[in-house]
Amino acid sequence: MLKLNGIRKSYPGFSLDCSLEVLPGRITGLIGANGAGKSTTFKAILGLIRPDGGEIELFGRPGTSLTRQDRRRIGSVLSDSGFSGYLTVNDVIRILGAFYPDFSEDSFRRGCGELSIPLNKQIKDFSTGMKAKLKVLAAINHGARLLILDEPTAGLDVLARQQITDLLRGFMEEDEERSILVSSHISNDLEQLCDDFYMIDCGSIVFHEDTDRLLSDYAFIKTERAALSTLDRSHILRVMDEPYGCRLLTDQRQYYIDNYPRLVVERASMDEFIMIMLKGEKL
Amino acid sequence: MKGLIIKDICLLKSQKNTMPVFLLLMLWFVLMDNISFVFIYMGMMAALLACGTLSYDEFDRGYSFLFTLPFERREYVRSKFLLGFALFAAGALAACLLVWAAGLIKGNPMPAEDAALSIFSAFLTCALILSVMIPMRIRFGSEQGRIVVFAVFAGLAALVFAAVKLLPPSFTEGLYSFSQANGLLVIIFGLVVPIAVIILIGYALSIKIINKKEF
Repeated sequence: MLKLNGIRKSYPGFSLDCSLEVLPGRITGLIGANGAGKSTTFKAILGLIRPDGGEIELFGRPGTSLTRQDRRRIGSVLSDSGFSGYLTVNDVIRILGAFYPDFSEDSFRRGCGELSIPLNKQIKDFSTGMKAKLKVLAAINHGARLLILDEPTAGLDVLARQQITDLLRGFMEEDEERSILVSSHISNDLEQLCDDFYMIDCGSIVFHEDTDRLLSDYAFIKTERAALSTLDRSHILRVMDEPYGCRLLTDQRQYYIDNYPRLVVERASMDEFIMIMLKGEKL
Repeated sequence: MKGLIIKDICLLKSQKNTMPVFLLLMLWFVLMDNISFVFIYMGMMAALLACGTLSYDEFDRGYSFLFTLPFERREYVRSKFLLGFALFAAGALAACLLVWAAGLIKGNPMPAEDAALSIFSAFLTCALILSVMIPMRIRFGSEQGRIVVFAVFAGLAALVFAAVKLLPPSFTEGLYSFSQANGLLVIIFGLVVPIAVIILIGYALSIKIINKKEF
């Protein structure tokens, strides 16, 4: 569905070098700290910036030679940009209808009704939650096959986040060939939603894993630093010092449970996992 | 491009409160017998309204999302010029009706030739503003673009002023007599050709800038 092969983009003080793939029928997450390169990656995919090198492949063809029809099959949400605040939702309906022949006005209006989005109020007067829901509704209601969502739940309360997550699940259930690439700071959202995810740090992809495997096989081992030498370190990915000793990240939880029964082995939450991946040291 | 035009019309709709003021000002110029200025003012307003939609698009980082929609970048430029011309056409029609009605009431209708020349001059004004403002606003944004546009128009005004001052009076007098004797030729070469050249330069420059722009 989407493939990035060595996409490079340099700015003063930052450079991106990113490769990733989004398969049909999958929701892929992109996580990373602020300034890690998530938005730059999304902008490169959407043609908003010109990469210095590398290749983007969308729907099996080069990103540089997408047809209008191809672009109609992409729905996008950007964290810091949307429809002009001077438009109303009724205006947005007219505009989407003109841009997308497959725009489903009924479904869009129904979604607005269910999410209490007013039709005649200027968007600039919307709450953060309303704006976010409107962006997602616009992206999922014009027959897109691929959604590119940059922080669709940023700044939202738990209820609004759940509503957006439900919208995206509904979008995926309608057609098993659809895909989503989504970034979020809220790891719980990604944990619930994504089939796999990439981690980006300082412009480079540092990790890729299926969510199921992450939640089942990855774990933290709590121990003292001195005890490290007694452990098989071939499955230790990161180590981070803690006040009581140190914490190790492994991708072979069962192996350490079976072979080191006296060790404290705990499942990794997504937040803790991100923290140790980005802040921990490699052995 | 249909979507872009609809978007701009929706954005202009949010400015509908300024329309009565605009029409009242035109009526005032008509009542003051400043007919030529009615057309020039209308041409300026059409161009400024069209260029104003660029600011709406840019507001709150709107460009990034806008340019993810399925249209070619050159269509964006084309839509702005088309909007300007469409607003000019609507404004010209309104101005003609106003001037015609005023002429009927006062009993001294404006000669058709004078009206045509006024419309051409107004269109030249409109084309000049569109051709300078659209590329500059796209390149520099609304804030900086305003300064650059001001500088460009100040430069043009200085050029015209210098030309008038430096050229001998016999030249301008000769030009006037020539235009009196060859009305049609003057319209063609003095207005139509400059309008076409200005539009082509502004359009090509805008496309070059938008194709290079990153959001």
